[in-house]
Amino acid sequence: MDEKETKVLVVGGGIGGITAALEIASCGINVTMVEESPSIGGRMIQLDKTFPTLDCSTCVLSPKMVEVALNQKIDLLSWAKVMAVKKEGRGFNATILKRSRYVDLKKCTACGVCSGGCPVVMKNEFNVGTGPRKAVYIPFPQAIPNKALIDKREERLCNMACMDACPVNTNVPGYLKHISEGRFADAYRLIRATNPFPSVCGRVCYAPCERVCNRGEIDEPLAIRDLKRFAVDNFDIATLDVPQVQRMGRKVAVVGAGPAGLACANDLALEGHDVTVYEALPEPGGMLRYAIPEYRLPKEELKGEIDYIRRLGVEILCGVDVGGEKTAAVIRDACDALFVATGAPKGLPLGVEGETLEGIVDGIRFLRGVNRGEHASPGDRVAVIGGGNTAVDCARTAKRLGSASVTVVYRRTREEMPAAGEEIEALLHEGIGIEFLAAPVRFRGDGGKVAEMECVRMELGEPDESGRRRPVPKAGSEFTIPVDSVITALGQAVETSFLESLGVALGRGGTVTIDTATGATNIEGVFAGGDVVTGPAYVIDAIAAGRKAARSIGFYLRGEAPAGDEERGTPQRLSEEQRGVLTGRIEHRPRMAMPEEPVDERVTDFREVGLGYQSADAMAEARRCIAGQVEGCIGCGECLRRCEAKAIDYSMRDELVEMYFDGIVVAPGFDLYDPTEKTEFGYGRLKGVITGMEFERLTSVTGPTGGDIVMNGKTPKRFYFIQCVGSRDRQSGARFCSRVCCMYTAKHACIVKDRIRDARIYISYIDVRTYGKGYEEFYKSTQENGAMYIRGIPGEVTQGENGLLVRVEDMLSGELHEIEVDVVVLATGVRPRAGTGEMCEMMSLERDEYGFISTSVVEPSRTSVDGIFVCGMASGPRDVPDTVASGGEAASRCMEYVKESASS
Amino acid sequence: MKTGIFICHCGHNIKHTVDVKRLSEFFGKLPNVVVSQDYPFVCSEPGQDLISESIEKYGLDRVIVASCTPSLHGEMFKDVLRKKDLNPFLLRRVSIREHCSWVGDDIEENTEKAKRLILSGLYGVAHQVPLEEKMVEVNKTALVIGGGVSGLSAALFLSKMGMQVYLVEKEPQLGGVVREIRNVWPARTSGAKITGDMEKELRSRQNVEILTSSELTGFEGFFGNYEATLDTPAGERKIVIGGAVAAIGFAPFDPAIKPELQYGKDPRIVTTLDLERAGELALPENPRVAILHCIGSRDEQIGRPYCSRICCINALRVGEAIRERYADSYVESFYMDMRAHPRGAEEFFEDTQEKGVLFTRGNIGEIVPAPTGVLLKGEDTLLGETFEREFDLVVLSIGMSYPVDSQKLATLLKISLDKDRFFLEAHIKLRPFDTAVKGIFIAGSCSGPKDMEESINHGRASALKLYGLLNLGYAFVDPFISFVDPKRCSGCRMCEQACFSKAIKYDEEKKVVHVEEAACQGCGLCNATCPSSAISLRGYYDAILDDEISAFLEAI
Repeated sequence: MDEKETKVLVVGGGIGGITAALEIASCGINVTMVEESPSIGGRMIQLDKTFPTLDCSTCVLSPKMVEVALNQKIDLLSWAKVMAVKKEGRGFNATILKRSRYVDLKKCTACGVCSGGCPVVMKNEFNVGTGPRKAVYIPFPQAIPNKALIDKREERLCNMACMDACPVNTNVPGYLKHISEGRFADAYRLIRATNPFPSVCGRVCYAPCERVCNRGEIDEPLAIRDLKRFAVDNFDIATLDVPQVQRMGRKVAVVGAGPAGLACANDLALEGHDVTVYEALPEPGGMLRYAIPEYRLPKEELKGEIDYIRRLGVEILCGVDVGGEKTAAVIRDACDALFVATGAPKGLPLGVEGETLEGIVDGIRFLRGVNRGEHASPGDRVAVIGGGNTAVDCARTAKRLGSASVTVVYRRTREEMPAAGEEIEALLHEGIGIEFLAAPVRFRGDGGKVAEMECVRMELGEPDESGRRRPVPKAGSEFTIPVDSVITALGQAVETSFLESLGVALGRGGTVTIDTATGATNIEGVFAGGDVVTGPAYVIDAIAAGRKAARSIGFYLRGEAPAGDEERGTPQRLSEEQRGVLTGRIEHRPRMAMPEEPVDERVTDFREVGLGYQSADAMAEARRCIAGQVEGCIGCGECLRRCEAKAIDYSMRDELVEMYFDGIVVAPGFDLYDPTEKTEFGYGRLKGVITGMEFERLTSVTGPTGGDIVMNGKTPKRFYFIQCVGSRDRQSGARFCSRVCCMYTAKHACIVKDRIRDARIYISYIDVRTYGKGYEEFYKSTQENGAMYIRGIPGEVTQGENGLLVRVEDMLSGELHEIEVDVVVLATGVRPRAGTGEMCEMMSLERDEYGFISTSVVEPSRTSVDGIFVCGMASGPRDVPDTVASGGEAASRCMEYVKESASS
Repeated sequence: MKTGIFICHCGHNIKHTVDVKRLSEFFGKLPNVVVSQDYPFVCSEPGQDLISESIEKYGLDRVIVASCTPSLHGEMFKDVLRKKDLNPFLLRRVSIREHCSWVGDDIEENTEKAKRLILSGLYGVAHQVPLEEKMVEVNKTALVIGGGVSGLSAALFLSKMGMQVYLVEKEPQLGGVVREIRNVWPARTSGAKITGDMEKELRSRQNVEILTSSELTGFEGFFGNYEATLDTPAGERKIVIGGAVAAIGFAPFDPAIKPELQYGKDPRIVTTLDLERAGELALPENPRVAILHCIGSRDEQIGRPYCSRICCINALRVGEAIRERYADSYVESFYMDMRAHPRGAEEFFEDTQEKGVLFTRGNIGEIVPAPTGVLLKGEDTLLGETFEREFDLVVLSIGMSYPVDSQKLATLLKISLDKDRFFLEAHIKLRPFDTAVKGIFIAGSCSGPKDMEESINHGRASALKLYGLLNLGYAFVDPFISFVDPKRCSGCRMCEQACFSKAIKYDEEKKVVHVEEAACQGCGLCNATCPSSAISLRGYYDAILDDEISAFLEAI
């Protein structure tokens, strides 16, 4: 026999298939094993223990599984399916579907990091649905191949424009998925993975995500920011773990404790670097602390997040004026890398006559004063000059400080106002007027204090370089507004003179010039980011800049070349085709508004305006997310980002391969009977009624409870096992005996007795069939250990006051019992594995009335097709040793067959 | 010496609690270490490439991989060395995951421990020399002991696969007990036909020698080269074989052991097997027949606590046969639990009931032969009533007892028996045909009661195992075998006692021992026993172990 050429196909990777494959391979024949599920091991690997020796099933089987993986003669195709088989000569042409795992088996190291981040929680098949798993998962710890795969069932419906729009690439679909399914803490953790300031961004982010949200093209965009806040509201950051990381022994100094500086410090600390942050003001937070009013961002929230960064080991030194006694050069010399993030703290002057009068203050200084607790009253009549967020903040703050009349003066129209739309709404809502198309031309004082502001009307001319139409004064349109104070909010500038000593190159307006890909300045080891580079921008941009710099600094400290910017796509709108699909699938449902404090009350103090969602509302809103509505993987890319081995590949596709085989052994195995139709036992209806396999997973250390027999948080004490459920039962269509249930029930009873000493155990039976080696003795000792065997199958299981009531007639005593128990375990019988029929049809194999594959009595693996052999449960119920024997027998017949082929 | 050290992060598994950077830096400075690197996953493809490239670039002659437990990826890393033409026994695996990072949380302590473990490996591997896996020739010849369905199946398969087969049967005829069954269920043919067909096919083959009325009397040698002595009608015969399948079946239970059954005292009380052997029964046309289950099974008092697996089916067969032969018969089967578990048996049970066989769950207390019939007294455990009924024929459905020769054969083959004196398998679940002796397999009912189908499965499956071991004509033996320094050997022969694989041979002339390499299993018992330190185990010299321990204790 030319052994190199000869190849055998083994269908099914349970103990039967494994035995056959290993035996054939041991004779030097090549074997291709095709298993439909992602791992081999079949049903046996799901078992906790095996009878009658009570060996751990995993310990017994997993070495065999590893043998399959290591055997060079065996080509293992898991997550694959035989689609067609055609006889050709004495052999077979088989078409095999290799399903895509979306994980490169060669690269995956089974570290499990991917699952840790995956926001999609699904039923765990290995635990027969009794526990969760993620959409990207390793089937179980001992799986062979021990590799992850992604359970992807359909293409994602939207383009997840939100993620591309977000400067820190927040996994929006991921956290919305968590929220929609009630996993609020997981949502928080996912947000925090890319953003150290969830509570800030959940409140004051300008939410570029919402602007591009694909749902917005159908009805309204998701309330992404408010949902982020909801996640924050439902998580106590004090309970957030500080991961233990290896210290790298490198020092990094950060100047400026604003969002950019702190985000950078956060990331570097997580990488194991020692970070010191220098801050000029008395408290850290930068603009978040000193510019954003309390009613938008409570200080406590910010403090919580900064405290956590401190817990990561970051040292924040406040009140240090860098450039003063401590120069930038001194700091630079004491560290391995320096990050400059001093922001844009200076207000820009108006350049108008009378600007120095008392009562005229720049907005940043005004807000800083209020935020520091200086309760200066701006007077009754306040004018705020400007149209940005700072102007709006100043106006609303002034209102809260008791100013009767607050007016915003803006030189363009509402269209051009740079402040966020909802901020302007809130402003108007709170009774603050806006004087559009107006600009101050001079201030007049009274005793050195401002009293009047003279303005001029503007009209819009040609667009300027920013694309907005340039306001042009209308001659002769001057008018006067009486004021007690004026707040100017015209923009901010950077303060970078302290960097001159280092030789850092500066650009327009004194901003620091950097390599935009890495955040590096012209001086080695000095990086910069945030407003100090860009001029005033949004919080999330500063955070993104800080994180980018942290990444570059990490590379720099390790002596590696910076990898540059992480890829960020351009937000995509829905295609016509997508819109078509979605219109049929998505029900029109408007956005759920987040409740706010009533206007009358909120303007009297600095209480937070937004109240946050109630859980049910948040979940309902999050469910609107289109991405989360697909089954299985939502394609959020969290695994892709986390996988260090770069093993995740979304672009993989299923593959069809044709192969020629000289012989086939089929071992598709079995399923367990679904007892739902036996309504008298209440499975699926009564809590506490479970199947034998569910009980098996419950007792297994690899199961959902880690092997503790705990149900609904309690240790059950009273157990009732019912045998022959779906066996020897014409009603359920199975007259046959399933052969394994008597023994597995006795085994379960032993396990219960072993773990719960004072447990009471009842076992209902018709005949106790303990026929194998050592089985009868096992049955006897189970009885001796106190399991009470009752001859007779219960008529009914009902819900009692303190448990489940089992009504049974003991046929030996003739008495009717009503037994109250905590758990009823149904010893369900076996059925041919789903898909066996389809497979047999494809291979032209005959089956018996129950669907088991027909065989010959004297040649127990011979099927109706010459060259195809069967082993294990597929041809009828068998326990493990019998399956092993039948696997060997099938292998021997197949060997004989292929040898004959070779010699003929 | 050029040693390469590769320290694995195992993702977070090791890195999180062991300072891998510090370790790689530390070892990089040691003499004889030319490369010391840490890497996220040494087991991954790029990780393996890193080793390969380093072997090439630095000309490494020793490799240490500090990562997970050696049993996990040991063979894989050996292959990396093989592919680079480096002897795989120059690889040292150090477990810094199971033995270190998973044990404690303290980075400092873990790093220190990992350092010592690797250091210990470094000292150990320095002693290693290239070892060659030894190839031994094996005979592609098999001995099958027992000519029942198991033995026949085994012999047929081995012969068809091209092996020379000797089939030894104690009885003058082949076929075992199955041959005597007139109507085998569920085949619905005679046993003689089934075994006859097998025998015919076997006899037609050139490479099979069938030795009936023969017995095994001696068995020597080691795997691949056993020498069996046979007592045949033609006199004593010695054959050389690579391995053997023992398939000696069972002994039908002898009911005379239980006098209360009155077996042998009254011709109306017969066993199921007697019935097969008997000619036409001397029964009236409306016979009353009782069938008693579990005779010689599930009976601790007589040392037969086990279920014999076949007797319920036999009882059904008898019941059915009588009902079919005698339309006016009254047939009652007395059972404890109806064990109709094989495929189709439950249906057979139901059909037999429909054919009129009565099934009574009960215990027979007393059997009283009387002139008018045999009186059975007992209790119906379902009705809770006692009964007394008279029968014309009482059939005892007898179980299986251990084969008469089990002890004798076990001693010859050096295999073990279980508590019921059947052969003991290596693992009841996954290695039901293997024994503790390489190349010796067991099949069929000699390892516990089995029905025909299961016995056929066993026969073929065990034969396949043997074929898998012998088919190449050679086998590899681990290089970890013992060798003797004859200058130190005092000839005390203590090692000979310690060796369970009988690999130590004493030279009467030179008064020293030597090791039969092919037989040595490398367990190391001999060198631990030797009072003169004359025996060493390749790959595990005392000096290696001493240095490793010293290095770990930092005593070097």
